[in-house]
Amino acid sequence: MPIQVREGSFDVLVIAGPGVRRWPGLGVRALATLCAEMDLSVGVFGGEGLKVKGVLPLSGTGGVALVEDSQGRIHRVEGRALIRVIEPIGFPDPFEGWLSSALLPLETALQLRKQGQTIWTPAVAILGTGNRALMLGAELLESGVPEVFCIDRPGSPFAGWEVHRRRFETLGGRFLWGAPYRLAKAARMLWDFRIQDEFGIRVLEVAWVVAAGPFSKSDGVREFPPESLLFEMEQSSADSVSEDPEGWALEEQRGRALAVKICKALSSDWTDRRAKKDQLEDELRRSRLQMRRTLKRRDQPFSLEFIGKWTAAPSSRAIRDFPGAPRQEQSKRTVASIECIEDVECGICQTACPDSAILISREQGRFLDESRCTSCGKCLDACPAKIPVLIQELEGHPTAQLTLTYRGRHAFRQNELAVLLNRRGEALGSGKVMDFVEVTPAGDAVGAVFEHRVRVEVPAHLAWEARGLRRAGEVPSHEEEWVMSSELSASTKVEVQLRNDKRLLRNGQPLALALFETGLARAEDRLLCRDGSCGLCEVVVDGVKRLACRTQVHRGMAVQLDAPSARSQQQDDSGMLCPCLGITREDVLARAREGRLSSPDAIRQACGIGDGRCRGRICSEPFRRILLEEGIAAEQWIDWRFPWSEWTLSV
Amino acid sequence: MPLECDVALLGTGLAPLLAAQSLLRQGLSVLLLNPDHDFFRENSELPLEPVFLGDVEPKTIEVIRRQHLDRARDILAPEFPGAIEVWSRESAGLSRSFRDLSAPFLRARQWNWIPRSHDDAYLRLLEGGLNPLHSSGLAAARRFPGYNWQRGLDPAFQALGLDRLVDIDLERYRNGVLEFVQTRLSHERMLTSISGLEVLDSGLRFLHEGSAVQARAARGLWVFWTPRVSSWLEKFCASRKQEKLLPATPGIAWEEWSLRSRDPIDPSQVGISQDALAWARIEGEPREPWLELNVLMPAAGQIAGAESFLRLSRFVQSFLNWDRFRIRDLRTRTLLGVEPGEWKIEGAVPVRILSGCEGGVIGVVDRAMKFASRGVA
Repeated sequence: MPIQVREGSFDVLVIAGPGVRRWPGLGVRALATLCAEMDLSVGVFGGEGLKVKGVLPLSGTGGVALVEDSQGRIHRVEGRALIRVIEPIGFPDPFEGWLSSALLPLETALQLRKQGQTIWTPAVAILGTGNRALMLGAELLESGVPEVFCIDRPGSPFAGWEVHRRRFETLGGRFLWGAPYRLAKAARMLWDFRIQDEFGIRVLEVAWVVAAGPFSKSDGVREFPPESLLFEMEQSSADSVSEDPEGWALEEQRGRALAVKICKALSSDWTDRRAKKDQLEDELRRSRLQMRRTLKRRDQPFSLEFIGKWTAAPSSRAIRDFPGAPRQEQSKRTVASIECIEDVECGICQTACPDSAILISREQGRFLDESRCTSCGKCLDACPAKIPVLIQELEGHPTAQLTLTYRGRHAFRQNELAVLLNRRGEALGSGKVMDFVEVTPAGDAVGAVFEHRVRVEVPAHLAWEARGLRRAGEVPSHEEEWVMSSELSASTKVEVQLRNDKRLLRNGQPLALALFETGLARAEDRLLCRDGSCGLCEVVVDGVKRLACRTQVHRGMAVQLDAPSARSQQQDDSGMLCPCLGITREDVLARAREGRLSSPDAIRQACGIGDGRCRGRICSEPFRRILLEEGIAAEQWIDWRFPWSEWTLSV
Repeated sequence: MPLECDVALLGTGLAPLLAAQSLLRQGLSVLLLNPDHDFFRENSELPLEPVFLGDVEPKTIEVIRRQHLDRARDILAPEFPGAIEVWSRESAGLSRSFRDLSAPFLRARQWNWIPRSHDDAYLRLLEGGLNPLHSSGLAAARRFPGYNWQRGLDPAFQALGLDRLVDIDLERYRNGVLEFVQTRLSHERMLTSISGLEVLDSGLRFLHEGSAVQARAARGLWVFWTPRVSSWLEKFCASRKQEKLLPATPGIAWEEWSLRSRDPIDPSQVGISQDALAWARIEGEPREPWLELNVLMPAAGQIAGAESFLRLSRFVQSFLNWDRFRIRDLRTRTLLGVEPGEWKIEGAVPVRILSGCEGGVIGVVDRAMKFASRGVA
């Protein structure tokens, strides 16, 4: 059958890059909407039905995208401006063992959390201190993982919001400042992870190391070649706004700022469109202001001060004076206290409040209208960092009442004593549990985390200090546990042959997840791209080569994994940059230096970076960072090779 | 302070670099101006000459002669600072005392052409002194890279073979020349991303990194004409009332596809049909297995358009007998499509223009070097 090719053209072409999971994301929608409002034609290509195979830059400006639809037809689409959307994988700079299967990208870790039954104990190390790193850490602690560390390089500014940091520390998470040094297998499903800090080498025994980042400073938009109207835009936010409010806000800002730039470049005649031009200028001003706010917060992160276990006076005053905290209503009745003092882009509590008691203004930030608050507690449930509390501080009373969110695997009981924690997770004293309200109902999920609003009676002097709870003493006996069963009732396990061993795996789950659960995951499985775009997770199922991420477990299947390659068994892969082709960091630097090459394209072609099976998914960001360290202008560089991965055509 | 030089060179790719090299050897000072940020962004050279995609004409014979190993080595080697390694089927596997594996490799292969009129082509090549080798049937089919004769063989398959014609590792060669010139020219004299070039009586003026720069070129400006500088040349000629000086440029887009083959491809052969050239894609020291097939063909109309895919699938399916193919890479370039030539525009700053700075790399090197030596004289 002849290959069918259809032609099309748009002013603005937005395409999904390889491995993009969510399509279209918030940034894409914001960009497309604004461009359409400015009367530009916009084409958006991506998703399961329209797979973009690559981009060919045109001479001058713009480019051509080749797209294959689900029926094998090819669409050749030209755009005067073209934006490729990517979801960066985010590996750190290479260190010894970074190619091990234990170093997971953040998205893979989140997928395993949501869909798998992977074991996370005894500890997890998370590289990075961004919001998503902290939220994952908090989630792991709540689910019972005994230790979680967030690790960043010494001297790096703290990347996340103070409220997420607060929650992480309250739950017992720890920060370490050091550089990853070595990751080596200690035992089955256990890894020896070493970091180098100011005191020397610190050894951690972990189940996983999660690369959460951020590992580079980038505003998420690149244009390359300069003035070519060929862009690359990062899509890095989570699936929902509550999982990543900052990421969502940034992505929307990014999309809108890029749309403004493109509209100005493509629309030359504004004669009859004065109003639209003004709208564009407004948009530009707003997005610049927001970006400036975000960057300012990143450069000067906020943190509370403590003297011992107690909040220092300036910070304590800042909390009491914050417009989100109540002034007097708490002395009469229970009322909410919204204590996220940092200037962050989040309006989740405002949206959740049914009584419009929480307002956000440009001048004051978040503030609470005490008179309207009915202490329904919806803000506690909605806040991703669980910062709001309900407080009642009756005048002259020796005790106060706090309602806090508690998430964990085991519930409190009435009249039980709970350990009260400060905003750094340090114990202050104890309080009596008066009652609790289930927020998420008990279910029969193994390892499920239950959420409760717990009302605690606390000594009056701790009313503004205690902001976390921990169980005192042992976990309740088995009959009192909330965990209903040890098996997921919705799925059954079937017997399969996995590397010549018989194993029980959950029927119907992706084979790639099963490999992680059984501790047999290889380094190639780490990307867990789900659409097979990386092409790395090849296995042999019943004698046929398949991709593990696209193969479901079924009864009786026989699975063979590749024998570990010589490369994967290499002792020291700290210098390895491209695991597919065995190209080291030194190879790249030597080639660049000896040839005095100053163009990223020239160096890439000379070294062959990105020519391996992963087509640069693993190595391109570390490659860029190496070039930047070497003083080569690679910040804006985009690899426009075509196609992004091998493209099979049947004729 | 304006930059002073004997000759200013404007262009992208190898040609201005080679000219700079030649001028520096002659003791002249040079200013190199490239409108792109990356010297080879335009990618206007081809690793081999796309001959035979048409009839045999007298100039074709000369082009083919230039592609012969000995002649090519004579043209390329002096202009390259380091070693150029040679590979051929005969020399493969032989041990040698020393080889520079990072050097550009000049590969001598047998080129097998399937002409429209076999006998006529045979006679023309013979008359040109090229000694073609006739083959037919299975012998000819086996020599055509990627041809799946097991799925079917056209009994009328005939080809003419020419031995020891070459292609080269283009990136390595280019980067080597660039590196050599960079060691001899300071970074102030090799400027990329320049724009707004004006040729005034007092000298040259242009923008570089947002700043205006002035330069004086005692012997004038040399322009290496490729599509990248076409629009500037057009405006310049118009400003000098020389609109009709340069020929029209039809522009030919070339697509170089790299396809993954199921079966190994013979690295010692190049195949040329009516539509395309095909050869095993190799970089550096050839190592087995050779599973990538390069297919070079002119784009019909738009790059990677419907016609391109039609031609590609016709070549791959109808001719090579493949049932499916995997595209690993596609590189495109647009060439002017004009004959090599030289023009001059007199003035306070004389301007010389050279075409033929794109296409097969051996031809580009040859023309650029001759132009540089003639230019000074």
